[in-house]
Amino acid sequence: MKFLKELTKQLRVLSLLRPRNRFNDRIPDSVLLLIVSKLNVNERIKLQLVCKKWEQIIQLSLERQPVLMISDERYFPLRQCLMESRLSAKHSKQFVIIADNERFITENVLQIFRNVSTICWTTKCLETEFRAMIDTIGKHCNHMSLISVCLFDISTYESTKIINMDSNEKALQLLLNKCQNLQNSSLLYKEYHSSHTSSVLFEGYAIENSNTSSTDASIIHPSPTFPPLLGRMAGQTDARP
Amino acid sequence: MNGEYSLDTTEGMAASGDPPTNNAVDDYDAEEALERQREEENKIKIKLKSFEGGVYECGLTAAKMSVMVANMLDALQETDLTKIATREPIPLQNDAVTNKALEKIVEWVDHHWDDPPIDPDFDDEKERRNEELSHWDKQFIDIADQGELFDIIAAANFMDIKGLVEVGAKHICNKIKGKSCTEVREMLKIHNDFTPEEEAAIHKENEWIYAKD
Repeated sequence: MKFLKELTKQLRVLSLLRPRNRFNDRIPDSVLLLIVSKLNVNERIKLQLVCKKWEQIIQLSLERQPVLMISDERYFPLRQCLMESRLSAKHSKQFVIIADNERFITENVLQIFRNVSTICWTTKCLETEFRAMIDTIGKHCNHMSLISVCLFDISTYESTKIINMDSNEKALQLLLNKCQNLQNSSLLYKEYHSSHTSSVLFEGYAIENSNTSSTDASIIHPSPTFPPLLGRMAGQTDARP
Repeated sequence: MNGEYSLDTTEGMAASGDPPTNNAVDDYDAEEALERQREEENKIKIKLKSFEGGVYECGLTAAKMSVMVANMLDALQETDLTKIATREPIPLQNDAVTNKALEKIVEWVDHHWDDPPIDPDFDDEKERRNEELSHWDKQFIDIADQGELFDIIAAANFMDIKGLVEVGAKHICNKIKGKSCTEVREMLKIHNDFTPEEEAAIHKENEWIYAKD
């Protein structure tokens, strides 16, 4: 008994001698997880390089996020977006497109817009970029009579609202209004290179059908049951299978 | 007091045209009674003993903000709560529960004992993230000695005081926001245990995000 008391005393002394200002020695993993969960995803990804422990905890926090890793290099908030939009991954027409510059629109978006009806746009786009986007849709995607836009706060991956629009002007106005409210959001993606764009698109589709070829755009078929919240493509209204 | 409240509530309902419901009145009375009970309980002082041996007094309701302490008190199965005050101090056997940390924790729970209980089902991460710390909490947690700050957070975590852990986490989060990895390492005294190759690999994987800096 005496020995045990002595041992406890010694242990107490030893533990009190430990450096007390080292974060990793003092703060339990569960608290670190709580701390990093309060950071937005960009910051988390950046801080992975602090040390191995942080990298593991941050990875865990990202896994807990409804974030889907679509390509080797990028995290994509597709699942969250689909969920928030009350869509399911079965609807192959909904994809998240994130860009912050006009070049992206002109170079890469056209091919996607032929097949995609849902656009999730970042909150940092400038008005001119939105205009360019709307113009692009108007010029090149004539088959899309209604545009469904899901805007979401990219720093938290929380979609704000699904907006159904019957005209491009309205869409633009709503987008701009929304963006003004979300100015503090940070941007997750700098830009996409054209080579990545198609891979993201088709890898996204592969959620439904893993046999999908990653090169042939024509294999993306119209969704059999278009979600009621979203707009419908022209010609599809009465022609659902 | 209860009668007054009951009368007022019923009258108010009648005036607004709604039929008075006994359930609403009962709920109100029950809440009032619970509030009073918590208040009475908090007048009972219990003793908590730090890892270093320091003993600190704390209101019973306040002490029960620690899930660990609440469980220990439940285990005592003491029906006469006043007897708890005369018992031996409750030992908190974790090296984070230093004298200073326990003193601060007691200060925090004594300030927050009448806070509404945290809803366990509340899981709105965004709302929680955006919630600002109160002025009092900001001042409370703004501690120059980093070792002491870590002790308080670790001790609060050990004692399972969710509100205080949340305050500590938000404070640390605010401190590291917008800082580079090097700055965070320096500030929190973290050793970089990545090899240059590992570091380069992670950097390459997330090049797009570092490119923004």
